[in-house]
Amino acid sequence: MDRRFILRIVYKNLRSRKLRTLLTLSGIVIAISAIVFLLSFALGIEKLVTNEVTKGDAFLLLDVGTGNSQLVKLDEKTISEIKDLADVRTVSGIINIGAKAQAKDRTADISFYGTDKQYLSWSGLTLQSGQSLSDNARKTIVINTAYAKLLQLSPQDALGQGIKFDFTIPKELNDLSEEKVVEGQNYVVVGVVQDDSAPKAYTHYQNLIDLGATSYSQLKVEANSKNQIEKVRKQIESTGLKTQYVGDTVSQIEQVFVIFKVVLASFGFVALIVALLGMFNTLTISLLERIKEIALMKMLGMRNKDIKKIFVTEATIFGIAGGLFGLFVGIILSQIANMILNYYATRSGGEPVSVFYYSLKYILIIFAASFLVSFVTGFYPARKATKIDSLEVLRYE
Amino acid sequence: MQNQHEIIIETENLGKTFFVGSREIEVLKDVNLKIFSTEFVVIFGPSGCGKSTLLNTIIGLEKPTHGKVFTRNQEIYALTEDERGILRSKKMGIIHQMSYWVKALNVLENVAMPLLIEGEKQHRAFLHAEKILEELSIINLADQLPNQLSGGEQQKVALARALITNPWIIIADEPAGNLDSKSADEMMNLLVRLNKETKRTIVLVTHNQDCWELGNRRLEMKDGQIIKDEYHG
Repeated sequence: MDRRFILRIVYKNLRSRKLRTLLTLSGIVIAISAIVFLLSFALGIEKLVTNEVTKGDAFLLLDVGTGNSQLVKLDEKTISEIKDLADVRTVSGIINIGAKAQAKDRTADISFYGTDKQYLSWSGLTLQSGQSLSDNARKTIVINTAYAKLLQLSPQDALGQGIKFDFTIPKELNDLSEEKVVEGQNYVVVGVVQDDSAPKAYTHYQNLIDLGATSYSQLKVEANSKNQIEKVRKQIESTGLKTQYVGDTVSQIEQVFVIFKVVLASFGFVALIVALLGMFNTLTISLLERIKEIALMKMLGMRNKDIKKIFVTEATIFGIAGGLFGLFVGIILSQIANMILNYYATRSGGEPVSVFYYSLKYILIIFAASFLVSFVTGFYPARKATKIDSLEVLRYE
Repeated sequence: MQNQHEIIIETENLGKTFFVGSREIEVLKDVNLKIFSTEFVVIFGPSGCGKSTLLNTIIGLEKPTHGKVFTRNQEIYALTEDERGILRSKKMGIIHQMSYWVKALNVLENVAMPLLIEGEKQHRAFLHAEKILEELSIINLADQLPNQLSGGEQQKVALARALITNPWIIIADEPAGNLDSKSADEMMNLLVRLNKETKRTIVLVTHNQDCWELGNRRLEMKDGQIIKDEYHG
C-alpha cells in the first residue's frame, strides 16, 4: 500500500481528534523536556566543576613532588634530568616557604612562593593589575587579591607597595640540616593576581635561591602531548618521585556525576513512562473506536502488515513530534532558568555562568529513546488490530 | 437454460454449521451453485435462510464447515487470509446494507481505498476514483465526509468504491435495506444499468420481493438450501 496513503490516514485520524492528540503529545513533550532540563543541568554542573579543576593547559601537566621522601630532592639536577626525558617539553618549579610580611603597619603570616611566570600561568592565576614575574626583575613580587584586600588596597593601588619580609626556609629546601631564617628583605609589588583564598605572594625563584634555597617544593612538568602523559609519569615515578595528574581528579568527578546524571535522568524517565502509558491508552481507545473501520479495511483486502503500519506510524509520530518539541521546550526552559540564575548571580557580584550544557550525543540519545519507545508502544495495539475478525465486528452492527 | 459464459463463482457441496451453546445450527446445507459472468443474480429468501452466510462464504470471510468455493477456478479457502484479502480487494466489489467508512477520510479517499490497498499509487488511485464518481454522477460529493451524506448517497458512494477495482463481480447484500423507497429505486436502477450497459456480473441478496424482477436469474433460498433457480428475461 502506498506509504503516503498510510500517512494520510494517520494524519487525518490524529487531526479528527485534535484535543486527544494534543493531550497525548503534551505528555510526551513534558517528559522529554524534563529529561533534557535535568540532564543538561547535570552536564552543566559537571562541566563547571571540571573546568574549575582543569584551568589552563591542565591536561598536559603533571605535578611532581617528593611525597615526604627524604631520599629524593627537587633540585636543579633533578629538573635537568626530567627536562632531558624524550616527551617532556618544559619543567617549571615552585619553592614554598613561610614568611612574615610587614606593610602599612600590618604584620601577617603569609605563604611565599618562588617561581616563574610560566608556573603562575599554569596554575590558572590571572593578572588583575600590573605585570607577572619576569626573569630579570629582582626583589619584585606579585601578590594575590586576598593579600591586597588584607592590606586594604585595590589591585591597582597595590602596585608599587613596598613590603618587608622575614623568611623561614625549611631544612628540606636548603643545604643545611636546620631551617634558615632570613630577615628584613624588602620587595615591591609589581602585579596582582586574582585569588581570594588566602594571602599569598610570589617572587622569581632566583630571589630565594640567592637566599639559600636549593630545592623546589613542587614541579610542574609539561608533556609534548596528552597521550604521552602516562609514559612521562612512569619515567618520573621510577626515580622515586610522586606525581599527580588532573585527569585522575576529573575521572573521579566524572564517576560522581554518572550517578548524579542517572538519578536526574531517572526522574525524567519516570515522566516518560507515564506519558507512554497515556499514549498506550490513547492508541487502545482509538483502536476500540475504529474497530469498524479496521474491519472494513480488512474486508476490502487490506493486509495485516498495512494495518499494523497505521498504528505503529501513529505511535511513531507521537514519538518524533513529542521528541522534537520536548527537546525544544527543554532547551528553552533551561535557558530561561539560566537567565534567571545569572540575573541574581550578577546582581550579587558573581560572574555569569552556564549552568546548563547541551551535548549533541545526549540530545540524539533522548530523541532516539523517544522515537524507539513510542515505536514499541505502538506494537501492542497494532497487533490487536490485526486480530480483529471483521465479520464478527460487522455482523453484529 | 444453461449459460455459455465463464464461471465466476462456483460452490461445491457448501455447508456451514454454527454452534450456539451446545445447539448445532446448520445454516448452509450442501449448496451447489455456479454464477456466470454477465449474470444479474437475485438471491431471495426470508431472514435467517442463510443468504448472508452464503455471501460471506463466497467472498472469503466465512470459512465453510465443508465444501469448496472457487472463483475463476481458484479455490479460495486454499489461500491464506491475506491472499483472500487481496483477491477480495481486486476481484470482488462488495456493498453492504450498512455503509462502513474510514470516518476521517473524505468520499474521494474512501472510494480510492480499494485501489490503494491493491498497491496503486495515490495520485492514480485518486484520478480513477474521480472518474468513477463522475460516471455515477456523484462527483459533487468528493470532498465531503461520508457520514455527512444521506443514506442513498452513501450507498452510491459504496457502489463507486465497489466498482473502482473493476472487479469480476459485484456482490450487494441488501443494499437498499436502509433506504427510503426513492433512494432504493435509484440504487436498484443503477445496478440494473451497470449490468445492462457494462455487462457487470452482479449478485444481489434481498428479502424484498419487489427486487425479484430486477435480475435475469433468480435463486430462492430456504433453510440453508437453494429451493428455486430460474432464468428469465
